[in-house]
Amino acid sequence: MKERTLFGGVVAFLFVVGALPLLMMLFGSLYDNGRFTLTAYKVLFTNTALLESLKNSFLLALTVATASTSVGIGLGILLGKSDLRFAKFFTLMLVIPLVIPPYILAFSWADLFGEWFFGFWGVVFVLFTVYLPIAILVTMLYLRQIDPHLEEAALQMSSWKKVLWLVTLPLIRPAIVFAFLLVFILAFGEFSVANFLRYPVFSTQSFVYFSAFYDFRAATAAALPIVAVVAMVFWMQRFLAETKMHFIPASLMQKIRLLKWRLPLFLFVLLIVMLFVITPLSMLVFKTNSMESFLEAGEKALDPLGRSLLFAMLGATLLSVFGFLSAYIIHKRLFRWYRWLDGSILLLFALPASLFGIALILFWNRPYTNFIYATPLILLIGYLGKYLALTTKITETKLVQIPQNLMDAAALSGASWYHTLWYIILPLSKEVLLVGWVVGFIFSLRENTMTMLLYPPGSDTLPVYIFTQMANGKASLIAALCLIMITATLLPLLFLWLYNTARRRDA
Amino acid sequence: MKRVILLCTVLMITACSSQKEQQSVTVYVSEDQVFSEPILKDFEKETGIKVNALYDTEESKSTGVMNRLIAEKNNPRADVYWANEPVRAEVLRQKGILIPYLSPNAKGIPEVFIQKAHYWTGFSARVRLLLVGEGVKHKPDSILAYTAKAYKDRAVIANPLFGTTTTHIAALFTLWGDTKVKTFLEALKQNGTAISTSNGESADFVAKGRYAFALVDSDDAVSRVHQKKPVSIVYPDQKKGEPGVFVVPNAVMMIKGAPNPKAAQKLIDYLLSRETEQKLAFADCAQIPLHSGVKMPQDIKPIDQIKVMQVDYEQVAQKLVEIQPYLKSWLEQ
Amino acid sequence: MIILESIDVSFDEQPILQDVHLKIADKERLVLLGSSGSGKTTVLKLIAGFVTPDRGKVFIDGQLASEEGKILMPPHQRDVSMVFQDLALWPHMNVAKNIAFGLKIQGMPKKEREKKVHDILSMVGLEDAGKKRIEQLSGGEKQRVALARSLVLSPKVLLMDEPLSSLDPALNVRLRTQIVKLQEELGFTLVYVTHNEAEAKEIATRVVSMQKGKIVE
Repeated sequence: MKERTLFGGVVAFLFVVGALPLLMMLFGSLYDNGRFTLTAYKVLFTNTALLESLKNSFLLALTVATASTSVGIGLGILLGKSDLRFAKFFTLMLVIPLVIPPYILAFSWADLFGEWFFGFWGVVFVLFTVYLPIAILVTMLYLRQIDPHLEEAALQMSSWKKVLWLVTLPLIRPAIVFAFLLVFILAFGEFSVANFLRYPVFSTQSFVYFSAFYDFRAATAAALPIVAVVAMVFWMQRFLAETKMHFIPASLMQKIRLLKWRLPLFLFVLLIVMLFVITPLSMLVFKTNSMESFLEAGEKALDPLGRSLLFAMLGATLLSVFGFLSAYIIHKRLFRWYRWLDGSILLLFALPASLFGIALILFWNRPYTNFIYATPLILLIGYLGKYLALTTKITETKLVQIPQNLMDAAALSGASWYHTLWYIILPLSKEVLLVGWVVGFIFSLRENTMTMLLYPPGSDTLPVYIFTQMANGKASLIAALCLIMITATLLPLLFLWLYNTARRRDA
Repeated sequence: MKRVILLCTVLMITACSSQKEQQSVTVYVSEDQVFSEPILKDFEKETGIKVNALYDTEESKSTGVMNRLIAEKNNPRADVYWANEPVRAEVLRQKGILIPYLSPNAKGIPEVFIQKAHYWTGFSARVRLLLVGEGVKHKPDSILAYTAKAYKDRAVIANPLFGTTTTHIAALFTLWGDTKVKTFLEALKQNGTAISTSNGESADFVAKGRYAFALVDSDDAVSRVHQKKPVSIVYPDQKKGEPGVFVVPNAVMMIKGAPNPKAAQKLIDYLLSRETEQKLAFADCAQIPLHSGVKMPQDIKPIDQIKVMQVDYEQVAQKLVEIQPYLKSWLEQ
Repeated sequence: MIILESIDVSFDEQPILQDVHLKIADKERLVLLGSSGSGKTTVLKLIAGFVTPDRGKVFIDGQLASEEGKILMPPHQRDVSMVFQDLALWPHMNVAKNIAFGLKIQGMPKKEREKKVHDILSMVGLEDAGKKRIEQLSGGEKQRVALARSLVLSPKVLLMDEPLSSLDPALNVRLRTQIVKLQEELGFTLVYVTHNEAEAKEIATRVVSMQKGKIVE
């Protein structure tokens, strides 16, 4: 088979999974009983409450992105570039809020602080702790790419304080911009925390308002500003896309020696970890308060957890396979329009899950596609469409690092494209595929909004179960369920970490 | 690698081939899962019919089962919808998503809670009560207390844009007419009434003594009494010439094109039975049975001892959509 | 016989090669000598079929292999092998697997493959290295594995891109003689790129100098 034929098929499949349902819904919003009309779009200009919530969302996303990025860069440098004690352990701890369903954190914090936590600053605080790890990780990633000679040259003339400011920070400027934009998009589309803490943001309002009228045409129209914001952000991101990733081995990296600051900064990071991570988690443990509630939760969680794990594993497998295939297409620029693939994948990631969920219902809920809609396959399609961007981008970072010569050498040995793919690229990407799998697993596992819309009756997942229990359920039971959920999420992460450490020790 | 792919394929096929031979019924539920799930489990046990349930909550308004029912109109998956109030049922009826079914167990339920053409039937209800703080002298006995000088800056009400509070106000509109309700709402505001985010929050405020009273759902009120908070319950507007308490029943209905109509009827019959009403009365939600003579806890009054507000829920549903813009602007003033 | 005819190549509007004419006879040892950026590596990639000319033609044994904007003959049909400057050994395969890769693709049975790998390893003096991982090898050993991997397919033409530049001078000199010996034994055409004049003189039967993308003889 020709390379382009196979990958054309992959793109066609992804088109049906992600883009087609959305296009159909967009198309539907423009027609009323077969006649073209823009009436559904009138709401965008006439509804003041909607516009107000748009302003709220903007302000929220801006505040969260600014806070997470500025704090995240500082922590990223401390954790990734200094001789801080337990830096790896701290990094792992700080990632926890990102990987567990965010409404669990909202639940826990609201419980601690009570009524005044509800509203703008409560949402900002929770989302800040949730997205902080993104800024930290992106900073650490870019720090690994600084050519140590650049800093060494500067260090001969000045102290670290100035070198950081004048050399290092400017060199990781793309990381700063990238982290800011990513957090902005995610905070803009985030739904569950604002909903729980009752702050009217655009993604809740556009749907809450219209769910009173149950008008999908208007709901689609109302989502348009989100698409516009996302598109704008991507346009800016294009300037960064060209940055090549070049990793410097950790051993060669110039590390900052903290000297007399080592203890105070250690205590500072410890405090942050205690505050942002340990506090909400211990709140849950405290709430659970008895072994009985834990056992009761365990019994109730058993079925939903089993389904959650199964769906997440299948989702993760699909995500890492298709993430690899689409990264391959984008990296090799197999088609002239590869940017469209890239852009659509990212757009789906940034789009509110509720919108994509409804698009999937409208598209797949037909008698002859019941084998998809009425089974968990619909969830897998949802996870694949929503999170493909994550695994694609993760795989891409590896693909750009495989020297072209390795592929050329294989071609000269007589290898066709699929030999090269199978024997050279795939084995070299083994680790990144594993990382993609774990990331896909965690995100499929924590997904709530779309799952709630799509799960076949009788097969709810654990996050959905917890969410529905939150209405009048016993607080001790909910807390115990949250703890089970967190454990299930963190286990594969811990596994990956141990695997990595073991492998490093081997090498 | 090949083995991994094979394993995944097998898993995927197993996951998706969950076709059951057994008789089953699919129900979408808006009543809190905590209260509804035990009832559905009992139904499963007693009839052997497998229940596939899909729950949502008030928290998930935007992604809830209502959107799903409407989106699935052309290819329904659900047989039965268990709504936690009749307005949603009305919306569905107007969208042509329901078919009528009159259960034999509807006998004995007051007519006001049964849709005229039998599209939905009400059962176990919440009522809208005043929760009053223990220390309050001169306990209010009408919702008009919200506009009384005696309670200036001392009362709280949940945000009227959401939940049962919206329905309640829409009901008042159908009963009193636009002018009277708007005057009432303006006066309520002038009187310094606080707006909380939910009925639950209102109840907590009263329990903590921050406000003298609040209009809340019976389940919120009863749970605070159970928690031994210093509060008491007042059934408002019971005197002659007063409108009575507003009742928000659960409502059950059958979906047009339901895949399992026989099992659907059995489930509806089950939900409308006196036994189910009794269970829901003794659950934490303390819902009031609509059949007379059903055993119930002593904290709440039986329906035939309460003066009930006489409204047409169809009109209420229509009014509810109509007054949204007004309520928004009223709130933002 | 390889013929490059009026070749222009540019990347991102930067001219890399300008009007290059070159004839390479069978079994000669041609060295392209030039400083970095003179375009000598691009000539190799042009012959291998990794770079498309903007203008001009490439003939291999009388067949048109590349022309303006097109590669007509894909790399693996050109009977050409290449030792890259960074050697491009596949890090996830051991020495034997690196060398056997091309034979495996051709579908050669395992037994035969193992024998051939063994023979070629002893030819470059690495009989016992077959099971070793790439990162366990020294610079000179890696160099010889890369050479073995290229030679195992018995190519008509071997392209070498500064293969010895990263080695210490003594080793460099030793390997030069080995390469010449191998070429004489096996009789392939050698196109060798370097910036080292001594190296060029020792290896070449003909030296062609390059400067700023042009041939200056």
